[in-house]
Amino acid sequence: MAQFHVSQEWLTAYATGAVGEAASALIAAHLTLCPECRTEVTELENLGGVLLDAINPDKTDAEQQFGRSISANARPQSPDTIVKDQRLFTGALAKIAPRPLLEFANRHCGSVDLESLPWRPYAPGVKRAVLSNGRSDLIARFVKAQPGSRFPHHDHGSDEMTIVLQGAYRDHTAVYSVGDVQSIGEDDPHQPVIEGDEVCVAFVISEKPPIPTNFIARLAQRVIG
Amino acid sequence: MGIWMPLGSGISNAAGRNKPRINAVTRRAAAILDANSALLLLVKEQRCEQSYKELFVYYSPRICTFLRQRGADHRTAQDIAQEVMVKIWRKADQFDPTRAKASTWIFTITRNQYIDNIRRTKRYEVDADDPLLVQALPVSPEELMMRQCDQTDIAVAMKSLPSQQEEVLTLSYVQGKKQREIAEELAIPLNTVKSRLRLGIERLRKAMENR
Repeated sequence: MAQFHVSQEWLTAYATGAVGEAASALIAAHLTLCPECRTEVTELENLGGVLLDAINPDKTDAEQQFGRSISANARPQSPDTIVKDQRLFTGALAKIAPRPLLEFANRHCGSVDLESLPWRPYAPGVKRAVLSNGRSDLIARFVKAQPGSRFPHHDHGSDEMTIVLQGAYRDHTAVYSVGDVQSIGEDDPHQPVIEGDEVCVAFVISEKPPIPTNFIARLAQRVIG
Repeated sequence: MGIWMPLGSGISNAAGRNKPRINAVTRRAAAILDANSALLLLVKEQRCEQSYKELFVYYSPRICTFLRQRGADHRTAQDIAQEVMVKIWRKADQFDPTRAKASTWIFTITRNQYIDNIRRTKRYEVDADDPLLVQALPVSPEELMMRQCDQTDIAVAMKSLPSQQEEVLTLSYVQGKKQREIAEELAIPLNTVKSRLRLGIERLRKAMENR
């Protein structure tokens, strides 16, 4: 059971529809693993319903619109069937990543195979696969780190959110394991170290890439990409 | 697919789905449901056009106004409201009154249609069939129904909130603004927005617990 959760701010943004694509994938992944936060989102959605009922509507001729709509669209129809591509849900990534992340990975790099994500070296024992959503609102990446490896000490140019999918890591705040979410604010440097003897896989989103505090690491990042 | 969908055994068993017969649990639910949830249940169970029309006349203008408050122009708001209403008719069999009230269910459909049409971004939701899904501890259908009743009390409690908290809640929900945007609009610090929102939500939650 997850010990560290998506913040109230992000849960509210998710329930109201104010989050971008990558954040919604990460939050839905945490919700899959965390019944407490699911309940929280349901309560926030209940509140949305109450507010919808409380609206004092503009004057419209709804009866007349109804007459038009029911002739055009609203005759009984068979319910929409949701066809899921089961191929999405097999493979190594499917064993550790909730379905929202599989769909996100498939959409942005056409792969749900852990090995064929666009991995690039980031630090000794650490690889990253960057998945852009094609717009600048958020960037997302998978990170894979060998047991015992450590990240470069780095700062963050913007808020960053991480969900652990396999294994665990530790920084100066806590140990984060499967299902846990760490939210890091701007100007909040840290250095994650892999905990335990399992490869750690995580999914990370941020508005900008993390900025390494160490000048050499920053140069290295520019060279390695 | 939304998280209001039955994860375990809901009231929509396969036998009952295609028959216009309302089973005992549904009847008990209807007895304590609000009027709109009862209407939606009739649409689900009996494809009742009269009930659908009542929902249409009630919700279509509200959805329109809701979308206009979120910045949609009149024409777009009407088109989206129309799409939402069609979805309500088509997807009525996914409505589960033990999981969500009609207003909640319709709010989530409206929110998602708004994201599709206006923000043009993809939204990910929990897949109820996900093998990694961590199940909540089981809750009896009766208790779930009681929880739905709480919403009437939320509506009452909303009216008793300090106006500053109500204002922030409304900007957040009705207008879909991010907390940073609310802070800018009201010219107050972000932390004040956060604390008003948190206090407002806590107060509403207390109102539910103290029923």
